[in-house]
Amino acid sequence: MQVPHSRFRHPFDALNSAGAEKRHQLVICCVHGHEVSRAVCGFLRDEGIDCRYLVGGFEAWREADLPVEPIDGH
Amino acid sequence: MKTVLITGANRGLGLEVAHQLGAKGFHVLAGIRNAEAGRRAEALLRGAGIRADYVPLDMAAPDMIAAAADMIAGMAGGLDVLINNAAVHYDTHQRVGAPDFAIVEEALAINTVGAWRMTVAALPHLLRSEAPRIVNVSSESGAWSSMTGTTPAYSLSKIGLNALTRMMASEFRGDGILVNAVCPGWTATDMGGGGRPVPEGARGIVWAATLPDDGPTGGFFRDGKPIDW
Repeated sequence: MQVPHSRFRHPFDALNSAGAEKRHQLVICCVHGHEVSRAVCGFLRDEGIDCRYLVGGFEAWREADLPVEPIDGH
Repeated sequence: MKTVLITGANRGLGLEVAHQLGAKGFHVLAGIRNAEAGRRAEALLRGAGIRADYVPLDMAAPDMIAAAADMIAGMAGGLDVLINNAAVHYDTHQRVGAPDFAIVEEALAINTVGAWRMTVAALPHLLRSEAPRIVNVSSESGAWSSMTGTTPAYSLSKIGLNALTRMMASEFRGDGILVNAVCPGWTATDMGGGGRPVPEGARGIVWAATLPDDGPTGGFFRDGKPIDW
């Protein structure tokens, strides 16, 4: 499951496709909201992308009873 | 478990090579100058299930290069593969007739002499490996046969690295160390600014890092195929 309307990306795929995201403001969400989302966010900021991460990650999102959807429509 | 040291592993090709070799079971030692970027790369690689450690490494600092080799010995107990990937100044804005010599000197210090120093520091550890490999990440812009003046500092540094590849291959042949130069092609990294996807460019480097014992040495390759010096 994922945050609605988000796009699932392997962390390295997210870095390697960073160039295509320069026009967008991004929020990065990982499972726990610790190392992975913060690391990806740091890399993307270095690339000049307006980027932040979701504190607490998907776990916190779900615990707050916010809506979820299957990953990328699967 | 085989170990690999990759210089300039903070982003682009270096980080992707770390990812691909880590996925093949290598213990990845990621040589990175900036501490925050180092911790990030370590976190991402570990998050992908890879055994990875960040090694503080500034290729412009000879003392740090020597210290990194000792740190490797402490962390991993040995070294099987060295990938000299760190590079600066893809100077498309410069002209041979009017260069900024500070850029030229820094490119040579990091891209060429830095790789040389790193190899010398790593050599005692590589000599204890059963399958030692050195990959010098080079560029066709450092090829004599197609040399132009479009990236003068970078091209000079890379033709120097190509020459070092030949020298190292010759001198280390008897020790079983396979040394090759790899051109990743024009790749969509921050340095390249466009081109093919980073994982594709990284694959040729991974190929040279994992050559069998009867593999080539002293060659210049792209995607596992020889190209002209």
